[in-house]
Amino acid sequence: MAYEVHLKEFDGPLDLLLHLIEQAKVDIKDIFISEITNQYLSLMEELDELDMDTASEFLTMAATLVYIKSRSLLPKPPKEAEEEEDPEEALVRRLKEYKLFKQAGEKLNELSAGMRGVFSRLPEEFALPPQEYELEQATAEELFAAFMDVLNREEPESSIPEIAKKVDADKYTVRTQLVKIRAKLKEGASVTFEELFEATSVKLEKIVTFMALLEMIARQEILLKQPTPYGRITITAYNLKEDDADAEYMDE
Amino acid sequence: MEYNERMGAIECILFVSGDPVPIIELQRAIGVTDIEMEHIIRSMDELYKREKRGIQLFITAETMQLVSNKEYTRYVEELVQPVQSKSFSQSMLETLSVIAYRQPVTKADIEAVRGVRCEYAVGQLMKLGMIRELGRKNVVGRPMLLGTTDAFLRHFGIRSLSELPQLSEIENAETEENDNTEDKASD
Repeated sequence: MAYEVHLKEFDGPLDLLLHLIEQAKVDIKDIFISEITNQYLSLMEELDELDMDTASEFLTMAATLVYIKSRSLLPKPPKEAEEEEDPEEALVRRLKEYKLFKQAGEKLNELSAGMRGVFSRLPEEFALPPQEYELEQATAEELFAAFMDVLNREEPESSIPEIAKKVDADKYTVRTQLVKIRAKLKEGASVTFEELFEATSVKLEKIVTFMALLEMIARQEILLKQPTPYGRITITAYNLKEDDADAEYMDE
Repeated sequence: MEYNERMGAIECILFVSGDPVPIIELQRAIGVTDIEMEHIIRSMDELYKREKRGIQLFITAETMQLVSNKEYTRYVEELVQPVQSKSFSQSMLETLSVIAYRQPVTKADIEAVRGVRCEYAVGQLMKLGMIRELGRKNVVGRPMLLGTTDAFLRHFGIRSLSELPQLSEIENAETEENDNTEDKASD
């Protein structure tokens, strides 16, 4: 049987082995009782013509083949219960798997040939009105800047209570503020960032309202939109939660 | 909007767009429910096929597009020579088949099957929009998990991944061939 094969024509060692197996007309599982190992090794003379990466792939396989061959010459060690996969079996399995995907690739090619007569149009070109600048989600920096504005609008606290003796229970919690925001969003389609803080007077309430807002963003209950950079941020309902009894918030 | 008008509106959007349009966007634009949308699409598809129209619908799980009817390609070619898309190289096809059947997969998974590096093939397939990153695998190095795209389905003319030729059938066809039986796996 005289035929010439060259390493360069093959897409890696598995491709070459599969070709040799097909040429020899043997079954994949009979690879080690055939001449294939010798044929493969004789082709390794051409390794110099390949680049280093490809050559090393072919060489690794050559080493595996020689290893399997040398094992077959030695008496088999007694089998251990949890032994690694036999290198011979492993190679046969890999070859079978590779062959399967090679054939699947050919099937895909047939499918694409069937689509070759199908064409589609390019999108229509027509002048659209100037695109509105819309940030689907306002950036964290802008959200922070807007919040600082709200805080600064309040008059500076003129006097610090002289003697702070009593510590009140938290008047405002994320949970209570969440309920308020949700109710507000249910009333109208959207609310601006500033409107949300209009009714609030105490600094703590503002802060907790802001925390609640962050929670709602994280839970995808609301969408923030900002039509222009540094413009008004509007808040719209997205996936409002009805019941959050089992949710845990950061201040709890 | 009447039923016919809804079909008309969808056809009109698809014509203007040219590119595939996400079905949920269409649904939002004409304002119908999921079930209604599904029904409209199915009747449109049947109508176009029944009337052997020159324009057909190509529908995948996510998108819809107007495409030419391949039955008439030879007549088109009498007058114009549309640019044929190039076919894939062997290594690209093999890489793509591993991704298509095994997704989500990492490059290492592909290399394990093919025994060769796959950077180039993966890069090319990415560039052609056939595959995309689905996420990262939670192992050392957080390798990219690859999967096929909607463009992949359209290129190969299938509507969903379930329409890919079954691997078990490919395997069986092989053994039957060896046994010289005539019984071929149906396509």
